Amino acid sequence: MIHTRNLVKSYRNKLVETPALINVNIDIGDGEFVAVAGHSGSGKTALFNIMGLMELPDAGEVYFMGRELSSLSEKAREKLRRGNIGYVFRQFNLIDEMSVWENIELPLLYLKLSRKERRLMVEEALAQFQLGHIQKYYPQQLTGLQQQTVSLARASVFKPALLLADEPTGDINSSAGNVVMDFLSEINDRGITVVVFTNLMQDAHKAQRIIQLHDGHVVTDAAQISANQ
Amino acid sequence: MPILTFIRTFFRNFILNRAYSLLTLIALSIGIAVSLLVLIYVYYELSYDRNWSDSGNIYRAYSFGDLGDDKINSASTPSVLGTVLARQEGVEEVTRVIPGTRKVVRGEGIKSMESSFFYVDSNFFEVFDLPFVSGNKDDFKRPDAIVISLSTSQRLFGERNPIGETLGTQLGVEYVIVGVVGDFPGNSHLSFDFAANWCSLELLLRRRRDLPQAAMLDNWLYLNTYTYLKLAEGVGEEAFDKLLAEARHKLDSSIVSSYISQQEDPGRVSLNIGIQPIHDIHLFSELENELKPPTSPLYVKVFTIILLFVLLMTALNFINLTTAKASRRYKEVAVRKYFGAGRRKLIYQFLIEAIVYSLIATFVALVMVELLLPAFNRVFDIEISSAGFIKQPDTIWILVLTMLLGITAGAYPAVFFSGLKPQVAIKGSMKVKRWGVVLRGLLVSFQVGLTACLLVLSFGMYKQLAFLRSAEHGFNSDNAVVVDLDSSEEDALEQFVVKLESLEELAFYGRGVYVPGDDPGLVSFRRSDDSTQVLLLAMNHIDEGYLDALGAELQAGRRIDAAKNNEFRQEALINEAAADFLGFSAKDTMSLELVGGRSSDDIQVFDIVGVVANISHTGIKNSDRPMIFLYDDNTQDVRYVVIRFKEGMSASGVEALTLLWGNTVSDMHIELSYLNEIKEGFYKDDKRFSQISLMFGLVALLLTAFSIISMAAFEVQYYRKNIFIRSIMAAPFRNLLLYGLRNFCLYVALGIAAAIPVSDFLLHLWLDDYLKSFNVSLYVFIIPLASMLLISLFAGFLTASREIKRELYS
Repeated sequence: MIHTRNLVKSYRNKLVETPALINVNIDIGDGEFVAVAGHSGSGKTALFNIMGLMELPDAGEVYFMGRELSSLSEKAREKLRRGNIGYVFRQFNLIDEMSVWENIELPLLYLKLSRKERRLMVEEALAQFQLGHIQKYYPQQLTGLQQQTVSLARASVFKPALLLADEPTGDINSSAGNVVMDFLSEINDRGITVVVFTNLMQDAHKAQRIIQLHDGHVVTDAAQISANQ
Repeated sequence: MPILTFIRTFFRNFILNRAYSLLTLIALSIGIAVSLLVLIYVYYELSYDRNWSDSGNIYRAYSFGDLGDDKINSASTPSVLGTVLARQEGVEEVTRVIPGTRKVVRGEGIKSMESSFFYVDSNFFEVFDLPFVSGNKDDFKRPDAIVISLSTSQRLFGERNPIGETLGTQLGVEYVIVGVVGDFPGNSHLSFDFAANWCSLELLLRRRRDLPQAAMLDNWLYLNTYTYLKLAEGVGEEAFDKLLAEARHKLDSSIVSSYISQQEDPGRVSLNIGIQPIHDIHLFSELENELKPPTSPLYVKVFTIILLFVLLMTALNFINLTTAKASRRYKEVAVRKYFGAGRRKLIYQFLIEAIVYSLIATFVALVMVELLLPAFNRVFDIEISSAGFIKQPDTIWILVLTMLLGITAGAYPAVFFSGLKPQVAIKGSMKVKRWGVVLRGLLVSFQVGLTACLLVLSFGMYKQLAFLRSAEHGFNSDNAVVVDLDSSEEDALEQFVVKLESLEELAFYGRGVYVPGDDPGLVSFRRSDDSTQVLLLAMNHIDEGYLDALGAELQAGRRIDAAKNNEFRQEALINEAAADFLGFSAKDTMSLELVGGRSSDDIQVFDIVGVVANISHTGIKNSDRPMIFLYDDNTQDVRYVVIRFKEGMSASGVEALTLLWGNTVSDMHIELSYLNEIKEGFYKDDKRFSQISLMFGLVALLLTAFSIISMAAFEVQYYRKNIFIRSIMAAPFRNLLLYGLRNFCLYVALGIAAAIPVSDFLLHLWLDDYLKSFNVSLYVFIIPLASMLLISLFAGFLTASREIKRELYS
C-alpha cells in the first residue's frame, strides 16, 4: 500500500532547522492495521503528512499504491488522494455548518457520484456506526465520542484504500477511546488499510503492528499478536 | 459539488456567524447603494438632453463678440437669426424659444400668475418630440395656439380636458389650448408650462411697436431668443461653421446697421454666431443667460472619483470582513482539501458565496436607493424616480456592474482560502505575512484620514455658511417681506398702497424695480466730465421709502430730493462699490450720463448726491456690483413693494397684508417672500454642497467603521496566541486590550495626523472661492478630528474587547 525509502524531512525557519524524519523506511501492506507510536516530536505528524500526500519528503522515496510521489505535482497528489485516503483527526474537525449527514457526505461530493449513490453510501455508514438517530444534528450538539464516530464514518464512507488517523483518541476519555479504536479495527476488517498515529501505547496495542518512532528514527517495527486473537 | 450545497452551507455559515455576516452584508449593501446613487447622479448629469429622438443632430446657436467695452458671450441670440439660419444648407429645422415674462393667465374660472410662459416656433414639437397627452401637434400651427404641460393642465383644469379652452394674458392676447404635452424631463435644460405660438408674439409686437420688446423683430443686438437647429445627418458643428462663414457678410451688414442706430462707432461691435450640441449645454456651456444654470463638469469628475473610491472601499471592506475571522473557516477549508476538494472547487465555492452576498446586498441596496431617492433628489436638486431609473436601458448593466463588485471582492477571499495548506490550516492558526498586516493597517489609516478630511470640510462648510448668513448684507432681513406686484392691476395697486399705510403693524414700505434676489440689469453710463470712459452700472429704480423698508443705510451725502428732478436731469444715489469704482466722495460733485440716447439732445444726466451701503443682491459670495439708484414714482414700472413691520409684528402684519391684498388688489394669491428667505436663497448652493459633503462624510464614516471593526477583529486574531499567554500570566483585561490594539491605535493616529494638512489645504482651497470667509481657527480641525479619533477608538476597543472575551472564555 505505502512504502518509504530513506525518507528525510526537516522543518526550517530563517534561523533553525529541525529534523523530523531521518532515513525512515517503512512498508505497509494492503489491509494492514498499523500503529505509528511515539512521543511528541518523534516525527509522527511529519510522517502523517507525507503518508497523507500532503507534503513531500526532502529526500528519499515514497510509494503509494505503486506510484512514487516525490515527482508528483500537488494537483496530481490531490487527485491520488481523492477517494483513496480517509483522514481522522484528534480534534475531529467536523464542519460546524454541516449536519452529521452532510459531514459524512462531504468526501462523496468530490467523487462525481450521483445523489442516489451518495445517499446509499451515507445511509450504509450511518447504519454501520449507529449514527442514524443523530444524522440531522450539528457537530456542536454532539459529545466527543459521537463527533469522532462521525469523523470515522466520514473517513470510511467512500471505502478508501488507506485510512490515516492522527491521535484519534487524544481529545476523548479512555473508554470512548477504546470505542474509537474498536471502530478502527472494524474498518480494517472490511479490507481498509488503517494507520493510527498515537502517543498512547494502549491504543497502539490494538493494532496488528506497531512502528515506534523516536527523534525521527524508526526504533522498532514489530508485528504483535492482537489481544483479540 | 452542487451549487445548492454551497448555498446551503453559506446560509448556515451566515447564521452561525451572524454578527459578522450581517456586518459584511450591511457594509456591502451600503457600498452598493451609495455607488448606485452616485452612478445614478453621474448618469443623470451625462444624460441631459439626450432623450430627444434626434438629439445627436440638435444644436443651439449662441452669440459671442464685442459690444463696445463689453464682451458678448450669450446663450441667447437675436430673434432674426432664425430666419437666416433656416436658409442655410444642411439645416433641417430651426426653432426659436423666448422665455416670456411673468404674467397673469386668465381663463374660465382660472386666474393665475405664471412664470414659465414661453413663445416657441410652430415647429418646436417637430424638434423636441415631447409626447402629446391630448390634442394634436399639427394644430399648434394656428397663430393663437398654445400648448400646456401635463402638470399645468392638472394644476389649472384638474381632470377636465383643456383642449379648446381659451386663455388670456395681460396684454389682451387670447390663446386656444390645442395640446397637452408631457412635462419636460428633469434632465433637460429646457422646461416650460406654457408654449404659445411664436406668431402670436410677432403679431402683437408688430401691432404694439411701443413695447420695448418690439425691437427684437429687426434688431440684431437684441439678444433675447434661444435658437435651436436640427442639422441634416452628417452635418456636424465644424461643417456648419463653414456654411455659416459664407453667410457672414450678410450677417455683418445687418448687425452693423442695427448697431448704428444705437452707437456712433460701428467699428467697436462684432457679433458672431456659433453652435453647440444640445447635450453639451448642461455640462459644458460657459455662456451667460442660460435658461437653466449649467452644472460644472467638475462635479461629474468629482463624483466619478467618489464612485471609484466608494467601490474600492466597499470591496476592501468585504475582503477585510470576510478574512478578519478567517481562522474560523480554516478548518473547513482544510477538511475539504483533505477529502479531495481541489483549489478550483474551493475558489468556485467562495465565489458562489460572494455572488450570493452580492445578490442579497444588491437587493438590499435597491431598497435603500428607493428609500433614499427622495432625500437624494432634494439634496442634489435633481429629479430621478426609481421607476424612471429602473426603466433605463443601462440599468441592467448597472446591476451587473454592482454584482461584479461583489464577485471581484469575493475573488480575494476565494484565492486566499483555497491557497491555504491543509496541514497548516487544520490547526486553525492564522498565517498571515507581516506585510499583509501592515497593508491592512495602512488601508485603515487611509480610510480614517479621508473620513476625517471630509468631516473637517463639512464642519468648515457649516461654519462658512453660518458666517455668510450672519454677515452684513447691506439690508436688514428681519421683519420684512417683499410683495410681487406683477399680478396687480394699476388702479388696484394705488389703492393697495394707500391702504397699506393704515396697517398698524407697518413700520416702512417702499417700492423698487429690483429687490435682493434679483440681478439688476446693467446700464452704460459715462462721466459727464470724462466722456471717453463708459461705465456699466446696475440700475435700480426706487421710491422714497425703499431704503428704509430694506433697512439700508445712507453712508454719505443725502437722499434724493425728488423736487429737483426734471426730464433731463435727476438726482441719484450710488452704492459704496460704485463710489469706490468712481472715486466718489460726498464732498465731490459728480454727474453721470446715460449712454445710448436716441440723439445728443436726448441725454439724461444724473447728479450723485449720496452713497448707500452695498445692498447684496446675490449674496456676499459675489462681489458687490457698482449700482446706481434712481428715484421713480411711476408705479407701472415698479415690480416690488418692500414692507417692514414693527418689531415682533411680522406674523400679524403678513396676515393683515394678505387680507388687504385680497380686498383691494386681486383675488389671486399674494406673491409674498420673506427677506430672510431671500437671503437664505443666496446660499442655497453652498448649503447643498455642505449637505453633500456631510452626507459623504457620514457614508465614509460608516464604511470606515466597518473597516475599523474588521481591523480590530483581525488584530486580535493575529495576536491571539500572545494574548492567551498574557492572559495565563494574569495580565489585566485592559492590558490585553491595549496589547491587541496597539498597532491599530497607531494606524488610526497616522490617518488622523495625515488628515490635518490635507484637510487644511482643501478647506482653504474651497474658501478661496469666497470674497469673505470665517477665520479658520484650530477648533475647526480639533472638533471633527477628535470626534473621528474617539469614534475609531470606541469601535476598535468595543470590537477587540468582544473578540478577546470570546477567544478567552469560549
